[in-house]
Amino acid sequence: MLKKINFLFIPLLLFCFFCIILYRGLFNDPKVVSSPLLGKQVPNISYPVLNQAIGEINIKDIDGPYLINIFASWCLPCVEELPVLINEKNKKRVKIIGVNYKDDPVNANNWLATYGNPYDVVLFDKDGMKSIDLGVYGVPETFFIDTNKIIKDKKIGVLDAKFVSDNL
Amino acid sequence: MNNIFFVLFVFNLHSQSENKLEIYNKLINELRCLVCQNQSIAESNAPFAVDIKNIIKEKINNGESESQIKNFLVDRYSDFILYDPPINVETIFLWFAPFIILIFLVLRVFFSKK
Amino acid sequence: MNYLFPEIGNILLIFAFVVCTCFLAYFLKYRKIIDEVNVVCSRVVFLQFGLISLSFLFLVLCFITDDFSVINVAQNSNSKLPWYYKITASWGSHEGSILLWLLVLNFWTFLITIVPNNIEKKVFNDVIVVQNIITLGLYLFVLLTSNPFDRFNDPPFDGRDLNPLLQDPGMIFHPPLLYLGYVGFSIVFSLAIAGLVSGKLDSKWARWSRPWTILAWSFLTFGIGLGSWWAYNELGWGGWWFWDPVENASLMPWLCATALIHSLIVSEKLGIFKNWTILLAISTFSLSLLGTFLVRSGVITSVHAFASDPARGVFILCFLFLLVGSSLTLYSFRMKNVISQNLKNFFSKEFFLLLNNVVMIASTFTVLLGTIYPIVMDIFGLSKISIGPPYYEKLLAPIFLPMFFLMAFSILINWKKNTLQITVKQISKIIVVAFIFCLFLNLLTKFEFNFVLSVMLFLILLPAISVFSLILKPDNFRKIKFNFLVNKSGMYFSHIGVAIFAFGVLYVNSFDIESDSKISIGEKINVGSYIIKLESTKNIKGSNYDGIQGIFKVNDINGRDLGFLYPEKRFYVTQKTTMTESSVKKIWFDDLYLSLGEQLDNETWIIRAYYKPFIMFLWIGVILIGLGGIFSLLQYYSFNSSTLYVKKN
Repeated sequence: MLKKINFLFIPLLLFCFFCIILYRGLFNDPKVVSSPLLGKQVPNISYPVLNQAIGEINIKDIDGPYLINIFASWCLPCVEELPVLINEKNKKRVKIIGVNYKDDPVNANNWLATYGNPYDVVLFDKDGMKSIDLGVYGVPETFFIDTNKIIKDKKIGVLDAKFVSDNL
Repeated sequence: MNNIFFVLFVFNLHSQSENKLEIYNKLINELRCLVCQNQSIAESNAPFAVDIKNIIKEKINNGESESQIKNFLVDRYSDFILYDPPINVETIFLWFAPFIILIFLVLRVFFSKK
Repeated sequence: MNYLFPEIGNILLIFAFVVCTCFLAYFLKYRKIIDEVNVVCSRVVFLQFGLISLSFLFLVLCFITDDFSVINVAQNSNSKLPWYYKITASWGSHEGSILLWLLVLNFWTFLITIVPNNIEKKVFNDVIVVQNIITLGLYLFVLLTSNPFDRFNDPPFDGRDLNPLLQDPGMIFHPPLLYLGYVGFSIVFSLAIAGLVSGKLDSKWARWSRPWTILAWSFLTFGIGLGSWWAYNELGWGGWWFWDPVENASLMPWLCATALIHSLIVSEKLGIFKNWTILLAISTFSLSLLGTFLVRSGVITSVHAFASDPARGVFILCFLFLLVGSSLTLYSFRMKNVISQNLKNFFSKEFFLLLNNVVMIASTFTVLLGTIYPIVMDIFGLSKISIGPPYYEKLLAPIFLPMFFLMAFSILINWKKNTLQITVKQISKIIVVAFIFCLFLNLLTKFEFNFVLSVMLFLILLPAISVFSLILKPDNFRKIKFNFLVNKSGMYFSHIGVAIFAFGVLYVNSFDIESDSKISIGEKINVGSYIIKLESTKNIKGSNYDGIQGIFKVNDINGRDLGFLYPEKRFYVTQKTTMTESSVKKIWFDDLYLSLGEQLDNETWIIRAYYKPFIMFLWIGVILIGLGGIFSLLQYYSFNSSTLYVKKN
């Protein structure tokens, strides 16, 4: 008799546990794919520079702290996050490296001229293949590289001001 | 599984041996497109998927193995890019719970006879 | 005059809510006066149904009259949208679809008051009350978080248009059918609660519950099938099931309900395993609610999901928790008072049916696990994984295959007493015939089936042959009684439908051909034993889109003319999205399927062609399964020359 009663309560218990899982799940964004590169050294990637015919810059050579911001002229949210980047440029707390992703140099230049240029230098990844070593899969994405050249944080989507302050 | 897929690429195809094509097809069906997250790399037309397809082709031509290619991608994009979840400590429950439940229920039916 | 429509709709909705609340308060006070409550129930239900129907009608009117001051209309419709899609748009969004949910829920409650049945008055009252409790939760949800009648202060000139993906005939019927399905399981849920409260869960109770479960299940079957068919024809990838969380959300109640129906049969005939039956009744509707939650809360990623909003998610979750939690609590406390028999024979129909239920429950669990596991891992800070078709296919194949075996035998074997000898004798006949058929099919197709496929084919054939062996039994054949047809035809149709569906899946998955190619005007490509030639392209214009259409000539390898295919690339002006409209040609039971990829230049396109053999069997199978359900309802009515009346117990 006792055994039977115990069995009958199992569904209720399982259900409560299940609800807790769902509740916690509500506050997680499933679309964001966390990066396995966090906490690792920034990878060895040499990008050409926008508007420069020769010469490349290797992001490993750049001294931290700095942001790598992946952007494109065809990306609407990139316009949204520009004010945040320009704000950071003025605060001069971090260098801001832009990587123009899968774009046309003419369009990129026009975009920067129209909306503003927050970058210390603009690198160029025409087919997006170089950025794969950073785990990039869309725009905008922003990486925070610290003084030890470690990828400390990554933001997928529109950047907010907290990203930089939290990581400094 | 028992799928026999036959994909013919007319462009960008140097004469690939049967084996290379098989590995390629297997891989693109086992990876998830991160942009259109409900499709495999094989099914997706997103630029990201096209990029990954090209990388895989390149790596197969360089002689890399299936697991090498998968590891390369997982290192950059996490386990999420695997359409088929990995079998490791974290996912043991995922893979075995259904069978445990099945066996448990079958036993219950068998032992319910008075 | 126009601007009154949303206001009227809103007021009607509020009235319905008030009626519901008052009824519940009334019931609380006067529930002991059973006969009077009985009459009040019918009237209250009719009133609510009328109010909600009118409310929904006014929502539809807002769409038809292009009232863009209503937020819902502005976000989902457009003046250039064809009128029939404007109506569809009313349930294309979250708010509209929840109102539809409410409408369907009221409809089912109304149905149980008007369809003749012999449910005891007290139980009937309790059922109506539970239905109203559920409805109350939904009214609160709509009024507090998702009112479709909300308006802009500053209305836009025109709407954002309906997502082009949804502008398809399949979408007109898919949500209503689905809702008729899984919302319909609320009836058996309410019956279960009423039964637990009264303590009487006997054969009569099972007999009351089964037809309602079957009716809802049939609708759900058609709804899911339609969704698949639509995805196959519309999405252009040639796929028909993607194990997408939203698809899973509709599949889980279906699997659970299938187990429930079989369990109800066993409980009715033999009074055994009642605790499983009640638990299944509660679970099926809980899964329906869970599905509703998953789709709208942002917990999972899906192409189907509505715009996510954690606040709404919290509300539904609380509702789910309270409703299901209290039912399970009731279950835990009251079930021990219910007398239930135990299984007595291993070689009996009931034993096989119960094993079959085990399979259904295990598969429901698997789908559930796969759907929520990523969430679990995410919460515990473990790596982010994704679960796609490979997982489900790998796990469900070994779970489902034995089911065909069980299905075949449970159809043949008798209830209760059976000796081992009789059982073995019946079974071996079927096995031999299935084996011969398998061999025959292999010979016919020149051994296209390798060993593994042959085994699967053999298993699939078992239930089909089982059913036919019963139909063709000498006794039954000679005296084909009307009664026999009425009582059994449903079961036969459904089970044959399953076999046909499974055969279609097996064949298509094993022998389909997919081909990506570059083609210029005048060129031909080969797909399987068909030749497709691009003859020309043409600019086209629809009411809310522009596009290009490719004109492809189809011949088979012997040169026979098979007509044309007209795939299109459409550009929808308002939403600025491009859509691929694929073109499908049916050749007997096969499909030749073509979609346009990228345009390389004026004369050259990349195209994707599919050859899908026996794909028709999938749709035929599903229709048969659903029809079987509908036909099996005939057994609840006695035909007597000119009158139709309910059979007494």
